[in-house]
Amino acid sequence: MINTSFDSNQGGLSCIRTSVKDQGPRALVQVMADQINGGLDDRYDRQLMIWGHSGQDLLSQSHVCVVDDNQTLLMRECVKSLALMGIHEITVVFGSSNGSDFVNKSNSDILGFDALESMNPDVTFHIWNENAVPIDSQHKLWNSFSIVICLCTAGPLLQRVMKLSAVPLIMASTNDNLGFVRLIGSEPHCVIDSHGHFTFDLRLNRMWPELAEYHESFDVKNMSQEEVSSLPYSVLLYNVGKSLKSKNIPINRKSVRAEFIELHDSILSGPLTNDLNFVEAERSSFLLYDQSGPFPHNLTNILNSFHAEPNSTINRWVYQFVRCIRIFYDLRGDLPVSAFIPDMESSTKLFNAQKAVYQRKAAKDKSEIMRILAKENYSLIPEPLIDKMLENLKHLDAIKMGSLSSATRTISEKPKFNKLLSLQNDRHDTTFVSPAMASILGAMVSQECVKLLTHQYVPVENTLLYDGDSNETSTFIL
Amino acid sequence: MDVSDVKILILGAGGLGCEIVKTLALYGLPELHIVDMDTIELTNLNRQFLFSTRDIGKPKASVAAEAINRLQIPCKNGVTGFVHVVPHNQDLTQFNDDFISQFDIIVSGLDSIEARRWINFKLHDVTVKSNFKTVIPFIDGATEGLMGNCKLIVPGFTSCYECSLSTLPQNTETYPLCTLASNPRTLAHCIQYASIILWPREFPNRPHDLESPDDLQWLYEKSLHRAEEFNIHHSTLTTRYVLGVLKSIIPSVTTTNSIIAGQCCKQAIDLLTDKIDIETCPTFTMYNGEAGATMFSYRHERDASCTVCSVFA
Repeated sequence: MINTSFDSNQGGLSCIRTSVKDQGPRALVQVMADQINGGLDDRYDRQLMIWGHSGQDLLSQSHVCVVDDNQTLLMRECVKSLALMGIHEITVVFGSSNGSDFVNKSNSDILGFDALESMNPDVTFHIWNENAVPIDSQHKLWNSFSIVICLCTAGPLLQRVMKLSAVPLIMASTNDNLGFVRLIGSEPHCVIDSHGHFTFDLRLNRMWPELAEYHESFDVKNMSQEEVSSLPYSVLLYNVGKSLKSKNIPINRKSVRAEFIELHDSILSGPLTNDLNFVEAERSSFLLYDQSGPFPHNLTNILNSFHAEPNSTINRWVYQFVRCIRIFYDLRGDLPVSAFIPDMESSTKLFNAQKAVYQRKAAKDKSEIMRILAKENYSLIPEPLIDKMLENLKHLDAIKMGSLSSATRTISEKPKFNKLLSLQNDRHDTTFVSPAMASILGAMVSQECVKLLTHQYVPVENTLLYDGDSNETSTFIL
Repeated sequence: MDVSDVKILILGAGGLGCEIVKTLALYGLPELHIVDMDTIELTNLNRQFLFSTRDIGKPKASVAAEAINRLQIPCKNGVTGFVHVVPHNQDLTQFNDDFISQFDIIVSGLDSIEARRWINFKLHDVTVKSNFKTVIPFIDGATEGLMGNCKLIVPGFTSCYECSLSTLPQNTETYPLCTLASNPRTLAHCIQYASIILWPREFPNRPHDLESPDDLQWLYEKSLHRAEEFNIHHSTLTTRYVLGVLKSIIPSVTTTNSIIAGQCCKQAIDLLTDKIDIETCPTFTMYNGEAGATMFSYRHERDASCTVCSVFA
């Protein structure tokens, strides 16, 4: 369906579905539940591998508005990416002077609206002339968008967008071989899963009683070769650590390695590299060095980023959750235990038993977190999201967004960026964009948009400059 | 170089190929060739935007060419007529030297390392045989998830694809046989057991075909049974999960393809318009969109012992 005009009598406003950020918690419980959407799976299969069903479900409930004075290739490329990724609803608002030929010319246009619309049957398009949208920037229409993407660099449409305050805004433009993308928002943006790399913390030097009991239950020195081969590496690590402590030898790379070889050679013959659990244990010997579990800086960053409870739903939930993690930490002196442990070369039976020890503790810690959440009156956070965040404690983060007031500021260290701004201010013709630049910048804009919508991966903080002369990007805070 | 009489060969009509042929067509270049031996599947449609559900089962190269030709995009740079795309629904390694030698640039968005190695070798071979009369630049794009790279290879002037092979990630996961046979702990172990041990025992005369729903179902059932037997949590086990473990499926999204393809096309246009100096310019561009959007470029050093390009050293 293509609406070419905005007409509230024909359901204009009412037909706009509420965007995710405005939906009540109940709708988001569904969203966060990672439910499998049978038929949708195949089309999005390859990107589900990137952000999962929870990310895709958020996209399928989002409404993105793209504003551009002229119908530039940059705008078309941006809309194309959004449509292909499965944004539920896309509204394009274009300037009044160039609007009419837009739809007419589309039949012969590779990225015309006919083409864009047929790219994904899941997407609903609205195309509006600027004269047809409410002038008032506080109008509820503007607040119904999950994100507004503004590609115009001058004119009344830009002035209108510059008054929007409640909705996250992405501004972008390109000129010649330069392009920039800027993320603007009234509050910082929380990341549920940065997908960064991290190492498991098995708590080998901060054990709770059941874990200690489990590790104490093996008399490694008196085991048969076969029994030793079936041990998970954490048991070997624990024994090495214990033995070094009893001998008053400081734990470091060298001492751990020597102790490993001694333990290995006292029981097994042949080189240590023949025994996979010993190889794994040595590789993970750093788990013995880490003496304390300080409160992670990423969680501190989230708490410090907000002066008050965030307004947007997911940001608020992340903030509330992290506050409770801090309360838990202050009570227990440690973070809640993760239910997930890495695979360890060992017998199925021992591995399952050890996994169960971690799972029991994780369940216990989770129920304590749930109690704290209830006590703090934070009971609206959907449980699947709580599970996801407990799993992702090291991958939660917050980034600061830019502000509208600094949107057109130049900075002395970035001459190319200043050049780009001055080209815009001179009302330089921005309607011609090279196809390659449009492809690169349009995709970068929609990728940042998807990161904001899914709260996965880390968005640009907060301005990105792409330099096509050197084929490099730089990021700076403005 | 005169851009009005340019012929470019595009290798692959997948996620990158669709973007490359679109962007080059928008530059109004007169003649583009595109080669791909695959047919269109539903899982392509989140990024291969020249295809729709109606096209499922049809050859990619033909449908992509038709999608562009139908639009009658006017040529630019003083050329009359429309951009013309010629499809080749075939294995690119069947192209002969004469066919390849007609192109000014080759841009690739392939999913196979072997096909890239073949064209890389072929272009260096053509350069040597012609005594530098035919030097065809090769621009190679690759993506995985939110990361990608673009490599510019000019035979005799830059390092080649073969020189950079060692920089590729080694993502072949192997498990000790004893883990599979007696100590399975994860679903992947159960699936590998079904695939490597049970299947050949049951069907000694034919390998399994992951395209066959029956074979996949058989592997799924055996994996599930194995997981149950060893008390391994299996609520996430599906046929899709089995496929994911046995076949290396690369995560892919339109944005990364659009960025890398755009980068490849920009390099091609810069080469055609003499904007870059192939003796000194950066040749490799790396992109990562997982945290921010980082792109940087550098000149990849030639491997002095490279079996393909060291003849030029």
